Amino acid sequence: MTDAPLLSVRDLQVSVRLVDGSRLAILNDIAFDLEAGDTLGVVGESGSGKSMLALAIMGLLPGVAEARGTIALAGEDLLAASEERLCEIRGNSISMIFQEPMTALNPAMTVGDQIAEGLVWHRGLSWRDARAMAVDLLDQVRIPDARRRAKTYPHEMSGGQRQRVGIAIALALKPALMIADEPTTALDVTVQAEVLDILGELAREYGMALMLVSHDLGVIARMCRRTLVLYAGRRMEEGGTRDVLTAPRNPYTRGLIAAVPKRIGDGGRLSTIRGTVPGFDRLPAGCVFSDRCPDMIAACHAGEPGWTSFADGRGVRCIRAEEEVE
Amino acid sequence: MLTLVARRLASLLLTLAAVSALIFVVMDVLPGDPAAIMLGTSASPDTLAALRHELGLDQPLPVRYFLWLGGMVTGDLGTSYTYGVPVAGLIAERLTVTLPLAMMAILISVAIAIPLGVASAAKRNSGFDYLAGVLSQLFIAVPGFWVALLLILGFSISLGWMPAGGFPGWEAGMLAGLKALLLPAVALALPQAGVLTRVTRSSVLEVLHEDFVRTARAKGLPRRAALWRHAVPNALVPVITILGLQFTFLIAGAILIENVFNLPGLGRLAYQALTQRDVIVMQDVVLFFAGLVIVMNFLVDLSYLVLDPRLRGRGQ
Amino acid sequence: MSATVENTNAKPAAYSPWLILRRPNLAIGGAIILTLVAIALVSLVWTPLPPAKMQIIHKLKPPLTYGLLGTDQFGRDIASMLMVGAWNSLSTAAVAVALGGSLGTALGVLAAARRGLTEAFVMRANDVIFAVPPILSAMMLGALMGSGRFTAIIAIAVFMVPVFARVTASAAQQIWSRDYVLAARGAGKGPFLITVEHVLPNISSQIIVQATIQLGLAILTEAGLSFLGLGMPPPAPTWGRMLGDAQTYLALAPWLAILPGLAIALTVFGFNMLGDGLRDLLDPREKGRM
Repeated sequence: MTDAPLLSVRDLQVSVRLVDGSRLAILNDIAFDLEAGDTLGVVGESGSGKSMLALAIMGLLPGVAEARGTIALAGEDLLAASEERLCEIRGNSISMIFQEPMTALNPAMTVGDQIAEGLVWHRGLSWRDARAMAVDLLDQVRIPDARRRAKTYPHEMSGGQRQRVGIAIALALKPALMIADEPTTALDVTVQAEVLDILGELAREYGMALMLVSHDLGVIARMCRRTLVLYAGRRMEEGGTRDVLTAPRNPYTRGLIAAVPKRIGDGGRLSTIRGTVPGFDRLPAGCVFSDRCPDMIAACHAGEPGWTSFADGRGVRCIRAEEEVE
Repeated sequence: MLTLVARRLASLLLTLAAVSALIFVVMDVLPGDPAAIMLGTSASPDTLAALRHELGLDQPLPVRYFLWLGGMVTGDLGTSYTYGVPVAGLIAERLTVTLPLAMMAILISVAIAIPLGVASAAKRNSGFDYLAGVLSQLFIAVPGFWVALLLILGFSISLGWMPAGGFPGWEAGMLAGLKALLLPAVALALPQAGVLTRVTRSSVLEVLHEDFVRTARAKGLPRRAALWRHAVPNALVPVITILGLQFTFLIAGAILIENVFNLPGLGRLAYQALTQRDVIVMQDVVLFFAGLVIVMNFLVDLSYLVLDPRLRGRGQ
Repeated sequence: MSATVENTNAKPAAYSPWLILRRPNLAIGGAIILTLVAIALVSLVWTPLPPAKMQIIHKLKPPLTYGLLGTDQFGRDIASMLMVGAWNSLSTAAVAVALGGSLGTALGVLAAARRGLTEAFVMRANDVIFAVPPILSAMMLGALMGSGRFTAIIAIAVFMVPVFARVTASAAQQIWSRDYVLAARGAGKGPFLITVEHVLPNISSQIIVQATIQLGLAILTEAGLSFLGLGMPPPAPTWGRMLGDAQTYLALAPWLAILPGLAIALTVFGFNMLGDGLRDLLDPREKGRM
């Protein structure tokens, strides 16, 4: 008997209220499961709605956005929960790391205090005890000279260090689920590796589930056991990362993989997906990828394809997926 | 950080020097003979000349300026013609009324403006926000001295709760003194409160969009906690800036309010110097007020170092 | 399993022609100021009663018992005094703001164009003048030259100079860093031409907004000066002096204090609203201000 998944999302739709009162759909028909301790990568370009997904789970969508469906954390529907309950959950059961480390920290508060704050707030620790734990956490994210650095301000740290502080803040209460929204996108390549290392190591150590949102296939491949591919607010493909990346079933996924510059090869042009990501108010009729898809046929415009689940835990949204003979 | 402070201090001194020079030159250049003003036009030329000599008015301009400056530094500001006492003493005495008045007014205006401004920002575009907006616009538009009259009408004449004017002196007790200053301080505070509310609101609104506020919420802090613990402290810098810039207007207001309530403060002294054409007192009081404003702006500059750690030393 | 997806997008509403109703600030402020200007202009040719006419028999009458708004301690008609007062306040403020504003703008664009020492000098001069509020400088001038309308205008105008200089200097600096100005400079255009052709037109909306708001403040200042007896001398009626005279009769005739103050407050309120509305109208990129 398998345990129920830690996070279970069903029929998630997120829409945004426009200035004139109409609603614009962003995310549509999003569903996936995340087991405790597992790692899921959410891949998508800018404009795919992946950040909205992360915010929806946290309950931090902007006021004009509305979410419908179910987001169940250990059986509890987050979308039906009160704001008070959500405040208990945030930081405690689910935590989040954001994309821009340079602006994610309060410039007027010491780094140590920002880590300690969650401990004081949720666990009722004294500031003294919390600060001591903060030093320990700084150590764990490999900030040297942690005791002294805890008393410094964010502007005295580099981007990579600030992101590690962000990780420490997210870890402080040992949440069951950690969401990382493009955690290394704003960092130098050399720093990225170390931050990802720390993230992965600590997630494993604390048995946390990790949902990693990124446009970078390399990052996903390195960190995540399963992958969910998003395009224009819809899921296009899901499955074990190795399977999805080596034998993709959705043309969009194939395009993404092909577009990654490879070190091996004899020159020639970089592969691209022709066209650009459409705005949410300008989606093509039928399949959202149909105007850019190299495998497009007439039927693709007829109506948006449904999600097909396969027995091996994979899923895909494409009417031509079953034709594929691997 | 010390170099920063030193540079600000140098700037302060330079501005002070410039202001003093300006005041001195203006008083000098303008038509009007202080001696004739003091003694009246019917005085004989000899008496006039004697007074001019006594006041040092027959010396060349730069000499007079430096003598005056020197007097400033040593504390000898000349003697008031009307009162016959050293001006320095007069100013010090009047300060015991004006400074507490100004401080009370600042406190009251901040006590009104910050909660109102923060709440307006938090409840943006709500009915409360709109009402608070109208209220602050009204505060800005009403003349302080009119508010003063209305307050007297309401609280002194109709209700009889507060004195209608005058100051018993601090010897009569702290409470009595503060009571006498309360209505004036409120009248002085209201226009400031209006301006500060607007600045607070717009500043908090800007900070609320910052990423670190979202980080605070992601930690599980409810909206209110994220607002007051994270957003507001970072929103204070523009508010303090405006507070400093408004100080000039605070002084202008104090002059008017002191006259309405007949408080023996520096503002009233200036007015009396005007009506009695006591140019020596006038000159000194104007410089003193200007000095207060400049020092206030200096203190505001210093406060940034406290509020924004990024300004303290070399960042990265 | 398939799930159909609804397209919940809709076309945005047509652009509304009723611009002015969408901007209450502009409408309210504009209405108040237009009414005020109309009253002020009318007062030049007609008032219900001659404002200086003293009718001691009818002194201290409450509003609506004799004359629309009552009479003062000399039996003068308050409504008429308020009307002429409107003209006096407006004209004094307008002249002062025009004078100070032009000089201030000139200095501001000069500072932005020349940078370096000129800029430092202008900024320092601003600080110096800012340190002395108009009331104080008017008193200082009055001690020597005697008070009156001229002193009041000079004092207010002088204070307007740094106000405008600051605003125009910072606005102009932003224009100077724009790409098309850099291009013009690269093409060899001199600073004077750049200022006239590029800087001034682009900062004009900010100048207009500032002028509107400062007009309100100038009226407030002028009222304060008149209150202390430093403005136009009697028998010219001014709102400030009406308030000043009213203090003695506060218990007997409260309307003497309430009405002129109301006039001042309404006027300044109108200018502030108008300024806000103009700002929203002329610079839509401004973030949501109150």
